[in-house]
Amino acid sequence: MTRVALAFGWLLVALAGCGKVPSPEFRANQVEWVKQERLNLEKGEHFRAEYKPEVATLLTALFGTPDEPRLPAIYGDADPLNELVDLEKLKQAAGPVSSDEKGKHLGLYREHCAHCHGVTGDGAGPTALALYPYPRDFRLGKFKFKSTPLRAPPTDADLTRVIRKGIPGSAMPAFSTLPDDEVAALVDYVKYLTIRGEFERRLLAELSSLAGEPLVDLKSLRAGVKPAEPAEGAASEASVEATALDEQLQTLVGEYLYEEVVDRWSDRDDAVTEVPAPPASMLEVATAPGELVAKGRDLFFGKANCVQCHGATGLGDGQTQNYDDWTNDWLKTPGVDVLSRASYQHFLDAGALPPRPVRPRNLRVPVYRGGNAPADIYRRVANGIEGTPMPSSPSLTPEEIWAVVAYVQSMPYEQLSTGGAAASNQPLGDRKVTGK
Amino acid sequence: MHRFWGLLFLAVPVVGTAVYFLAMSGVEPLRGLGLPKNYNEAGVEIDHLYNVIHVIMAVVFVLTGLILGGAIWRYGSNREGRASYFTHSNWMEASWSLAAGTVLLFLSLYQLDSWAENKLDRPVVTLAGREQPQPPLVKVVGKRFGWEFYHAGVDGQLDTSDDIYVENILHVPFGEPVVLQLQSRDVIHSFFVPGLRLKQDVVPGMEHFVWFKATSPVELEILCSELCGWGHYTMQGRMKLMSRSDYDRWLAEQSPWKEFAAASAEEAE
Repeated sequence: MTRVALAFGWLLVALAGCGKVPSPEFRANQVEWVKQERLNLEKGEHFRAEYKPEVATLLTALFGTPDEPRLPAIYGDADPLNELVDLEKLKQAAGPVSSDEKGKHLGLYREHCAHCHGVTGDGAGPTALALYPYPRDFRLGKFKFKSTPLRAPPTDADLTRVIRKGIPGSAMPAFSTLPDDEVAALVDYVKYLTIRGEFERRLLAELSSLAGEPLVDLKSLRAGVKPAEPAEGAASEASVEATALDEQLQTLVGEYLYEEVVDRWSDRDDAVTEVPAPPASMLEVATAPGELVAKGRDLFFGKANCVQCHGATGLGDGQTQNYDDWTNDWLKTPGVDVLSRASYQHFLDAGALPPRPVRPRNLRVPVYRGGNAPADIYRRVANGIEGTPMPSSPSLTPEEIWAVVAYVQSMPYEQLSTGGAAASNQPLGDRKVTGK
Repeated sequence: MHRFWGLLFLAVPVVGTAVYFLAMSGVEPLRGLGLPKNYNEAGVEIDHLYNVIHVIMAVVFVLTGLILGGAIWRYGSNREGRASYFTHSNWMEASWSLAAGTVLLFLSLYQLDSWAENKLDRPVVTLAGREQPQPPLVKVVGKRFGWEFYHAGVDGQLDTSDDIYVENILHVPFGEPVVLQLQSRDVIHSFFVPGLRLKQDVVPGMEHFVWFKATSPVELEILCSELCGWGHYTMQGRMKLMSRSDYDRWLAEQSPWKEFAAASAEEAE
């Protein structure tokens, strides 16, 4: 009898499953919170504990949840955010993985991206620790491989390219088989997460200036953002009613979100770096002519000073103790010493990934993360790589940059030692000390 | 009751054999079990070995099933007294060891030539006046979780700045021997192309070469057949086999310089 009862019990458990999985939420930026609070502590002040729920509520009011994204769009139809991000695309990329009756895929971000980049876009998904470099944390608003100069956001074409082609030499795969509309939806979702994350960081950075005053009136905020009725007008359903926002909030969102974040994104297309035509001699022959390469080599060791990080051999063994901006963001806080884990344990507890030095690229191995087209390499040299120690080169003329490109492209062919044996037998990523 | 168990055990070889013949004759939904169509010249030999092993296995499978089921049917109930137990039998041990050993020895000798041809003797070409192993056409790098393909550019050399990087889609010509160089970025992967009967573990720190001669311009599936982590199932790639002229045209189209020249022409307009 007991046995039957037990079996029946198990059957019930099996039928019921383990209950509904709670839907994921955007994670608060704890690292930035801890950082700002410590900076504040220097002045002897604590943050109000209420700021945490206030920031969370405000962000939810403006941007929605991972299942139901929305856009603040406080300026109505002419809102620059509407130009930047399409709400319909966001809805396709957000939510749990599924597909509708027509076979259209939904929940694209969680299907393809979230396991590394995290639901919040914080670059701390379940697999993040296993990867080098770490997956990108979008919330700093910095992207490495783009056609725009430092401090300008990438264009849609840049983001599309990275998703379509992947990043060779890193864990970022190429989603070459996704249909165009799905990639476009993901591009918009990445912009959405980035803008949301940037705004959150701005907010947290401003908390100390509030001198203990409430950030927003939570009650009025909750009343104001309640989606009125599930009416037809999709825009009014999903966006904050502009009239319901009190003046303080208008100012806050207007200043921190629109002036500091959205405008920057709106202007990016004008900032694209034009690549001038290379010297004709580079286009005519397979490998660049000797004198151009020699000029590039001089620059490499001299004026451009590539040698400092990439090393005299180009193996990427120069300065190897730098960190990227995503780590430096909290590593440069007063009192933190990279050599003493105890001095930054509180950041790790808050969710920061353990600091790992950024490796300068080994130029003898022809794996170019931002693409191997000459124009790509040109932009890397001219603009630098955002968020890394790779600087831009404002002092180089276009001809000089082309010479550096020619030298970089010739390095895998260059003979390092007098050995001269075929060099294809070196394991990838290892030092290759023999030339072709 | 013993009749039931006897029939049940007898059903194993019977159903197994039936499934095999139904699958071979293309009855839904069993159609397509087994390996997909072969597109590699050397695959004929591999398929032959595969079939030889399967014939041996089928004989053992049917015999075991019949003996087991028959014994239960025959001796299941009318046992008289207790079964007799014994702990050791030299004769039995020697006979099954010898039988199994003979089969294994036969298999190892029988496949020697194919092993040498497919795993040891890389195709030879004459370069710069002397014979040497054919250089690889594409470097395949397995990583968690995907395949990176570095196609040797127009200079014909790997590890140079005109290498053409494509992830998860491998382009190769058919109708000629092709050598691939396999490496891993992190853990053990296994490069598996069922349509070419090609499978090779990829061990980090090592370098492996595989070669094949494909027969037709088809698109084949590439899999990872070594459980390499949570995203193992996502390591699917495609192999596009194209004629030599198509391949050369594709290579030229991918040339970084060509791309730039086109872009600069657009800008000029």
